[in-house]
Amino acid sequence: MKYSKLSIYLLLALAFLRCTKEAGSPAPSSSNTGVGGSYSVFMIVGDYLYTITNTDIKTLSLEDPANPKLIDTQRIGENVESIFNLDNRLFIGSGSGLYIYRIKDDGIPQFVSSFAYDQFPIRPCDPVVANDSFAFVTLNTVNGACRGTEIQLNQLAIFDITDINNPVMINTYPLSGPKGVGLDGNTVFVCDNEEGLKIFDVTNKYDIKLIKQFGGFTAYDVIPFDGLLLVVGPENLYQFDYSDLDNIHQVSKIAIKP
Amino acid sequence: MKHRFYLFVILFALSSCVSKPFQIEDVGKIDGIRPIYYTDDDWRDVYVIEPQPIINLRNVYYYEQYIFVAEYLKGIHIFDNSDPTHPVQIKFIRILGNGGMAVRDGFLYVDNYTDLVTLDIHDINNIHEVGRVEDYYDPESLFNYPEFYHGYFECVEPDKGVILGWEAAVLENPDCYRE
Repeated sequence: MKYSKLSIYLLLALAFLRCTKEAGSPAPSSSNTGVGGSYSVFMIVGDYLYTITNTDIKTLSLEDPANPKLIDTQRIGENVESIFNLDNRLFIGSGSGLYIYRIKDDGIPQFVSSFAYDQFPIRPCDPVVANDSFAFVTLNTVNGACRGTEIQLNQLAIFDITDINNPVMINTYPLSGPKGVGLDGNTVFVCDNEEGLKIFDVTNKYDIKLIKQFGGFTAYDVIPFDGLLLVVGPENLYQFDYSDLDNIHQVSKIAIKP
Repeated sequence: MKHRFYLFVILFALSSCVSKPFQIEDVGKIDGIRPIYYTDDDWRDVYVIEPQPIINLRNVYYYEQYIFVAEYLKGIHIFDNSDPTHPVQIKFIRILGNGGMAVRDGFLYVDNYTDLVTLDIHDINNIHEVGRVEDYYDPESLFNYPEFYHGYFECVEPDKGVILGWEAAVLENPDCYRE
């Protein structure tokens, strides 16, 4: 299956890296590309479309936009589930680890590094967002989201990833059952399950501050996009305006039928 | 013995986090789920219909003033979000077997079961197919187990059609199980 439970929360959040949009993509263009949510298995970077299957990544050239042309297929590993990009890097989440690829000038991904989750204190069901220097991870052991995890650990953890091969945890913040997480600049958005949406100022990575909380609903997934925040819950899709961080407010709600 | 126990714990921990079906012993009649197949041969027909209720939300996607909401394996809901205080549901695109989507410069790329399809959405009122890579995916690599599910299930047989979902059923010696 192209999406599956284990990395769901991982990919939930990993996908939000896309909010960096086209910055620094290898083939800069004036193209207008959308921003995907957490369950995406398609990713457009510059003039290339990347799609993943359980085991592979395929690269298509969008030179003729109506007729994507397959230019590369590579095997990644098993249980591949999510793809997201930051600058010219592709991060591919699987059930057992995270793979990092560099996009070459010809658009074809080149393997850079990987870390298995057993080498990194992140479980496959933990969402991650990152910028160049820090990764924000919501660790969640509620409801046995990932069985085999015996410790109860529900928190936002911050890792220094300056050395991508040696992430170092530098701070944590206790939460009740965090799921999706999003990042925009120095603002981190966390879906804390039944406690709703929590918004943090992370300017100081060693002393992060909860600046706003919206409760009364369950939040799974969040996508920040140019001041507009899409929050996915089991009953509704919510939109919030966060263009003024001092006045974040809900602007609309779309009902999801049972 | 203790070592064996730890080995079991480790294997259990691994298996529980790896979503792969595996062969199991005979269990007789047992509750489980089975795939719902779409068996008509028009599964490649992609078309726009009136707005539909969101039932099994998958992915969401922002593009320009629109929100695309994936209805798992069925298609894509389109909302006009020109006024974020009043998003308006305007259309539904039927795309069987759909899971992935991405948009660039007025072209929406989607998967339609085993195919990769390009839809021209420059004019949102005239969405139409402009390209298709047939057999882009190997059907064996798709939908071979139910997600968000733990228990017995009837193994997928791609030859039977496009999977549209799963339903509860009493199974006779199912060959597939998911931790």
